Amino acid sequence: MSAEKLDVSGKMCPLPVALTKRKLDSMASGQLLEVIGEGELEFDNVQRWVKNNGHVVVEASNADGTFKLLIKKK
Amino acid sequence: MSYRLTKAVPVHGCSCKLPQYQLGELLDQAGMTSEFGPEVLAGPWENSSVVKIADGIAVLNTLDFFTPMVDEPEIQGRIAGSNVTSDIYTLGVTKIASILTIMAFPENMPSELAVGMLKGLGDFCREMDTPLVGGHTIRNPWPIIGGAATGIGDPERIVYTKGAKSGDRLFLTKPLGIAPAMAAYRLRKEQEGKELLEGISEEVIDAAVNGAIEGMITSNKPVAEVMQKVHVHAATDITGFGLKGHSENMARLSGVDIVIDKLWVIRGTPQLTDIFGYPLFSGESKETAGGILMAVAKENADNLQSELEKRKVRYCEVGYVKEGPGEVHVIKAAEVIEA
Repeated sequence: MSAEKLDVSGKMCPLPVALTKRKLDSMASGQLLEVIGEGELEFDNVQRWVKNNGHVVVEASNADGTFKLLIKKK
Repeated sequence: MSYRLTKAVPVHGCSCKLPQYQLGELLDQAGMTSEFGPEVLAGPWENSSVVKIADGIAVLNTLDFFTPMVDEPEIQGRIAGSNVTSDIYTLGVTKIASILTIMAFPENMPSELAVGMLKGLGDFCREMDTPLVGGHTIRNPWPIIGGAATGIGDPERIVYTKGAKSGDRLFLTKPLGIAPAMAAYRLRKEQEGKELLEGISEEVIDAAVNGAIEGMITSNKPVAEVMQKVHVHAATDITGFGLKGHSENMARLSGVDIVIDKLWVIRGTPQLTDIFGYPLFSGESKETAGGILMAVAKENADNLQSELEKRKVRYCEVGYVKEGPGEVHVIKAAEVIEA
């Protein structure tokens, strides 16, 4: 299954979480979303929100200031 | 003016605090959690340090500073004043002998913004009958404002985070929701933010933003006056660790469990939370210059409420204390009350 994509690079808090949430709200259960962004804080915030809200982080990488999260919608 | 204080930083207010676990690790590694002499009545675990210097006299010290919450410099200065003095007032001490300011500003920040922040802080201190006696200023990539406060109190009458007892009732003196309200404040000025906020009325956003700013610039001094009149077992202010995090400190230090069964929030913040995804309903959303959470015995609760009302302090009973290993339970069906 191909993943939807969302780039939140350069967005300040709370946009990375808010945009991820809005995108997931528009998707069907079980669909995948790949989120690309920047910053340790933003990486932590998006990942925490995803887990706290019952979605699944399938893959997570964070290197050289850039992160990538593959999320499966609950 | 094109320079905006809130655009100059990636994190705002108490959100720039280190997470609680990370702070704990740093203190452990630095050996700063070791035992003190008997004159140190409170150390890093408390809102202010407390050192007994003579019979009946303790000196309290605290330092608190952060990045801007608002673009209006005088309001930002007032928020900083409210935040730093709160760390003394939270211990039930009303006498703040002096305040020093710490300020940092970037090379490209117009000097009138620095003047405005200092003016706001100075005005707030004057209104609290506390002299602003000096400080220190540096160049820095992020603008920062705050201060160090020195309080004087009676060691026998100081109220600590530790001391909550099973059966106590819990009262909070400012509603929650600073983070979502102030996110709306920032984002309504940006095109992308406006799109996110579509569907929420201007009236609701105004209510949230105005409620948050009013709360942040409101002093906790009247609450300290109340704690001098009514015996309170434990108190902590609610700032960067959120209601749950600060309650966890109280529960752990007191050796009891805390149950939060009401979430008292700023009007409009539930709708904003639904858009931004802040953990407001789990009590984990970060607050700035928040209210004081007090644990009081049932028999003193009526008196506490009466004294708060006399001083026009808004409050809400948000939970209770029970026996347990030191945990906090924010119940899923907690009633949400919009202030």
